Amino acid sequence: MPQTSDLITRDDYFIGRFTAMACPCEILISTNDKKTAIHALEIAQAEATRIEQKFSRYRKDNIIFKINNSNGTTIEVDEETAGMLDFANQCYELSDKKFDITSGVLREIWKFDGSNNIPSKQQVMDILPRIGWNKITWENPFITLQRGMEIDLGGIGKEYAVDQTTQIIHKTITDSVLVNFGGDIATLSPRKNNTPWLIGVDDPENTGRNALGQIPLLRGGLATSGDARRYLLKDGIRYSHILDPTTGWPVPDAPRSVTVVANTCLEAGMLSTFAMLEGNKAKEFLQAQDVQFWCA
Amino acid sequence: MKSIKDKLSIATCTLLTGGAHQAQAIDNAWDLDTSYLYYGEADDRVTVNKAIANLSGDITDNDRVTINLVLDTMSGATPTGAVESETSSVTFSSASGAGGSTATGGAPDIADFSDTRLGFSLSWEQTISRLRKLTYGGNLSVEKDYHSYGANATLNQDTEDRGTTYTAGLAVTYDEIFTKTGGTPDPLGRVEDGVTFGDGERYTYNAIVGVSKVLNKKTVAQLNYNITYSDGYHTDPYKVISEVRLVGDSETNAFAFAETDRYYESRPGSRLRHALFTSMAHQYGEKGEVVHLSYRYYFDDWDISAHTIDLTHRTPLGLGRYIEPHFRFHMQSSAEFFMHSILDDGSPLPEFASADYRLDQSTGYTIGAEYGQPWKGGNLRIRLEQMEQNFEDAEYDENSALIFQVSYQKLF
Repeated sequence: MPQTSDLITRDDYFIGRFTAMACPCEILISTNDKKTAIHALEIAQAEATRIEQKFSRYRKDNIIFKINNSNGTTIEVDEETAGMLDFANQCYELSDKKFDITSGVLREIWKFDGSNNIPSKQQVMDILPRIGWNKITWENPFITLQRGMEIDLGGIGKEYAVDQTTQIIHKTITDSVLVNFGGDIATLSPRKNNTPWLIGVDDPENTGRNALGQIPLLRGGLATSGDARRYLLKDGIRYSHILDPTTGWPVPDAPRSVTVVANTCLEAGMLSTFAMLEGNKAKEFLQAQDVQFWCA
Repeated sequence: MKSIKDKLSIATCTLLTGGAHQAQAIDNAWDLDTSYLYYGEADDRVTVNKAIANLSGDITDNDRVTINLVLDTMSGATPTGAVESETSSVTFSSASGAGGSTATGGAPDIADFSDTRLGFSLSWEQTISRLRKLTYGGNLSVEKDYHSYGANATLNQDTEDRGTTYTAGLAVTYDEIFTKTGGTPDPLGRVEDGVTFGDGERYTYNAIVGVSKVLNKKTVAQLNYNITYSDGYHTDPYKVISEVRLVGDSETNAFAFAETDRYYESRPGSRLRHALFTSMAHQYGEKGEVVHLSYRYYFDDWDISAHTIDLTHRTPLGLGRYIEPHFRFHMQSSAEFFMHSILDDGSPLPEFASADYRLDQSTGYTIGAEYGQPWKGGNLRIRLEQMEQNFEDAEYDENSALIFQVSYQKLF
């Protein structure tokens, strides 16, 4: 499939667009030089595609597939994957076991399609033994999964791709570039004349049409967790798509959406995800982290 | 609620800056290597159980310390140097002479012993500049009948391209040698007389110069010259030598040694040793097999010269596992004062004499293999080897031993 991209010219910047990781990707390049803009766009698209191919759980030719189909045998992973797994391990500990890359199997019973299709208690009980990072043997660079278990780096991959892309572009292009992959955003420098990039925060009640506010971003990362369109509704109860891997059930009273500004997109993404997993304590959690955030 | 932001920032930074940070983390880690070794000679001769712990780590960016602890328990029986007992006409009191604190059951030509050795060493490696390192060390070893104290310093200098490393080092050791009953026996004094002198002392001075060179991406070669001078008591206070007469039947040509007397051995008061060591490691093949070959030539002023060849070949088996067969060959000539026994023909006793099989002309080989694999976040190694030795003139002309070692190394 040929990979397509668009370049749009604005007054003092260019917008490059393509699709990767199942979401619209956008980079804003603060330059008047079209060649520079094209170059930045090429780098971004190549890196986003590389990371998607390497860590997507939907492919059959990558390390994730190899690990998830290892049938209890030990797999040796490359340095980058090892870095991701080390990071996932740290997130598991920092989130008090709530952020768990083995929780993806819950999707077999939870399908967030706006319906009232809630799994039975028995279905949830049956799937729990297949979840738990602590059941995995991770001795860098060797990983051993128990049969029936799976890992999914989707909760890290997009934010990681944003930061990686930002860094790679920064190595070759001096102009400021803002990377935005489906709402996960990072930049390493302010625009010309030291002006910040302005980022609109989406209103989950009125998604795509109404901005809750505008965030000026000089440098750093921004990420949003939560998706207003992904939920289940039964007997008047709204079930959010944030699942607690320790119970197998949606986190009660989780905010619809959390947006965090931090040093990097990855850090912002993890803080917003951890906040969602805290449920009704999300705000309290974010206040303790001393970061700029929006909780809706 | 607690803040996790700082820890998360560090974790994020580590992931986003990639391998460089991880490699540094490993450099700074503490490395603990523990191992158990069993050495057992055939025919219930010497058995050694050894526990080894080695801990090293960086205390600052430029200083690395290594602490090594060894605990040996040795027991069994070892040839004393005397001829086999059935031919002896000498009454031999094992308690006063041979090896053990109270030797029980050992024949006079072979003595029971048991001992425990505790060894401790500490070294401190200092990075002086990008290309220069200085290592100081001290070591101490204590047994019931042996104390040893040593100090050393080594300088390593890399060339600008880091392709060559020059090494120069000096070491001094002071040893105290005595029997468990105290003192040392009169050299070439009659065992029966039991004359005892004071403790033995020995000073040893060692110098090493060497060069190691990266020949290409996959080959490293090394050359060392080592000179050691020692001054003082070199005799083994437990070893004896028999005075014998040849008895036999000239008709049938069947001769045997009949022991007429027995003396404590005597060795010279100094020794000058030289060793030239060269080795080469080469990696090849798709799996990254490594062949390691070394040769050592040794000679000293006791007339011993020796050649040792050592060959290992490591084959990676995937997932960090490997198998490494090992072969070693050793041959040496005898010391000028080594003799099977002193002939009782009325001539005066020699100045120096020893029947210790370790000073005899010999050939020996060791064959075995090591297997390694990652385990519980560290590395596990298991080694099994068989050693065979043949001696030219010694009363006990064969020795074979089984060596088993299991080691576990982990970074913290």
